[in-house]
Amino acid sequence: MKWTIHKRVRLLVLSAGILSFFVLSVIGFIGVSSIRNDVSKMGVELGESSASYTQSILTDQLKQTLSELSKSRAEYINRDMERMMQDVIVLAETMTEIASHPENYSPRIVPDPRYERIGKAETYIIYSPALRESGVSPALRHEIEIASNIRDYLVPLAKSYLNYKSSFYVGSKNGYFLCSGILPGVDYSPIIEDEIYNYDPRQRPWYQNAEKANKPLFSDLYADIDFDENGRLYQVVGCSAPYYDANGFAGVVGLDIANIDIHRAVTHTGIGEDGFSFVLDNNGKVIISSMTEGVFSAQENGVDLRHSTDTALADAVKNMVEGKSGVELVKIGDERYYIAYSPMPSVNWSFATLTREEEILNAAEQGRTYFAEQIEKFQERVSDNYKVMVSISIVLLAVLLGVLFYFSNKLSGRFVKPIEKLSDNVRDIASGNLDKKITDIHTGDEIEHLAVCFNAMTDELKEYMANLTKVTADRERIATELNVAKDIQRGMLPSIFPPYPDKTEFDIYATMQAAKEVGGDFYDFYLLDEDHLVVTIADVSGKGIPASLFMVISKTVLKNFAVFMNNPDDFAAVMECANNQLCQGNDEMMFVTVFLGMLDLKTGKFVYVNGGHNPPIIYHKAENRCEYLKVKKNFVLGGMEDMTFTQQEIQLEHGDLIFMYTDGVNEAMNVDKEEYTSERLLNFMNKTDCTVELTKLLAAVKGDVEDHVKDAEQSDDMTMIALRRN
Amino acid sequence: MEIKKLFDGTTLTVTLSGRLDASNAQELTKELNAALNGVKDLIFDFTNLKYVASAGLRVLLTAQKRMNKQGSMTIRNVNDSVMEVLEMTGFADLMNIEK
Repeated sequence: MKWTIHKRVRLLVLSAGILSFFVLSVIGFIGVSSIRNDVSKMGVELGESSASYTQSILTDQLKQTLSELSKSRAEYINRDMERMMQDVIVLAETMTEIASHPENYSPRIVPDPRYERIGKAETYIIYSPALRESGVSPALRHEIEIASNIRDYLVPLAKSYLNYKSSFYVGSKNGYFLCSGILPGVDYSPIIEDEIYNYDPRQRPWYQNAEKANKPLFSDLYADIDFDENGRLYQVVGCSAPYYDANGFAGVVGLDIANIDIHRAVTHTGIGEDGFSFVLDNNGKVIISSMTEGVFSAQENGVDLRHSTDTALADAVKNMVEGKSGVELVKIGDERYYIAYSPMPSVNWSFATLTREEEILNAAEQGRTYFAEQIEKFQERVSDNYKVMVSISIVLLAVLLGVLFYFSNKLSGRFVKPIEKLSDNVRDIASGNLDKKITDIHTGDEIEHLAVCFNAMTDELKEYMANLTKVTADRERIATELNVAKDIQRGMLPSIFPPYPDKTEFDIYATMQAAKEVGGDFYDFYLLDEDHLVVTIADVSGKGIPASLFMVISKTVLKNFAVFMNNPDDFAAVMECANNQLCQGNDEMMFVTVFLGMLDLKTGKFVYVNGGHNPPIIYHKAENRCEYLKVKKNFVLGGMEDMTFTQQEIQLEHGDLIFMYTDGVNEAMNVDKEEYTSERLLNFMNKTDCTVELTKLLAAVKGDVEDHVKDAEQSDDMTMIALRRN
Repeated sequence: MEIKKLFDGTTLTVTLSGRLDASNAQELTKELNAALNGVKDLIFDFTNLKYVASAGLRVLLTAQKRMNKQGSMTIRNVNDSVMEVLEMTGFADLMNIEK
């Protein structure tokens, strides 16, 4: 994969973004998860604590409710009983007033149900069987008629209790019985039951108990007197009090009231399905109860609950009998109940209501369940929200990733675009379009700077290339011209061998191996006439065009003077004249070393002048030996005007040979800068066969020089010329 | 090649070492052109000069010609190979050479 800047920037932006998202997501998820865990833990704790709290609240409330309920019911019943007592007391006082002061009352007659119809609440008289038997004396008749004035009290009283099953009555010690409301029967119908005619009040418990106690008192309950409107047996509460006449005890007054209200108050009091209430008398017995069976129902022969085997209950009952109030937890059988009780001081009874503890526990459990459900719902909602949030987060993350990818791509694209533009432009420039200017990058940053630099570089490059083109053209032109010059120079040298095929007196052969640079070596030979051959070898100082130009001049001048020479003895004059000619206008101090020789083909006399040149080697065939030609040290040509040159001469025998060369031979260097040297040249000439053809001889010398030079570059022209007299 | 110049009043001593050839003759020419004004005695010390090429000879010739006008020129401590060249080219006859 190729990591372009575009990709790198995109990756950088992307990874930064993803990292941020990842970190935020992780923090978010951790936060939400911990909240979820906390909520779930809190839910359980809340459920527990709320349940116990509910239980305690409910227990307290229930206790209070029970307490208040028992208290209010007790007060309610007590009030009813007190009213009854008050009514009985008022009735007894009224009856005592009537009996004590008969003179204040006129005789009255109340109906006898045996003979008359009795209206509702009407007072009537019943005679006991004993009285009916003995008969009513006139004094008793009078007493009865006076006593009948009680009717004025009984009737209103009976009417005020008209909605209750009630009766109000007076029982005399003399055996008559005045009453209202008892056995009302059908309106105005005569009372026909036999029972009532056999009734003697003096034999009834309510009469006997009141006479014995000599004070108002409540009678026992009569459970079997009547039925209520629903056909249910209801109880009657009786209350009686003695009354007196002038002689003391005269009888007992009483009233009976169906305890429907009280009964309702008891039976309708109870909390919860199994809650119930009862009234306890001062003997520890249940007298009114909402229960119809069991120990808590009202029974004729009920047990004393103080002796219950359930000790807590027995203790509570003892408290009730003692007239205390309270709320306690008791155990009845296997069940636990809260009992609340309150006293009824008027009758020395106590009211109690009981509720199963389980009801409270159930309520508390319901509270706990309710809370647990709520918490569970809450957790579910949290969990749902969590899931929704996670889903949204994932979707959001995906969307954001997309957006991030898009923007990072775009951003990196925008970042890289100038670079790509620059790259395109540079490629264009690199392909040779130097006129191209990068003008469309205005980023104001390093890239724009780079573009400006590129423009500057392009300008410089263009200029440089223009220069280079010019210089190259110049150089090529010069090189071409140099090559031409070289060719011209070479062309000026005799190059056809043998040059004079019809001349058998001598052999001549020359080679010139030019160095890279055009040099100043030259050789020349020409026949002055039939018998005289002039040979020249020269080396112009320096190299290059100036040297080659000077060489041309030198060659021409030398030849001109040589050609016009008349006498071989004036051979040195050729050099002198040429020297002066070359010195003219030679401000550059160019000079040339020249060896000029002339062979008389007939005699073998070799006249020569050496102008500062390397001495040639002469081969004496007779001795088969080489040596350096002895030369006078004349000055070079062109260096100084008016120099004198001395000519020398030597006799060449047949087979003798003159070998001329330039310093390019003896100074040829190998890579170690070691020169070939003139000594080695002479040694080689002495070793080699100097009688061979001249071409082979020169090739042999060249071969030996090359053996020395090997791979080193040739630094100077290497010119050799050999002349043999045949 | 190494060129050392030592001025002593109107005397300039130029010490050359190495090879004097076409590659450095121009440099020596420039050096001398700049240094020779007012010099009466020019002395070349060739103790360490190993080789003189024809281009070098040209410089010596130029210097000789100039010193002919304004004073004198002497070449000292010339080794054998250089002396051989100077003799062969006839420079030795033209110049004041102290061996």
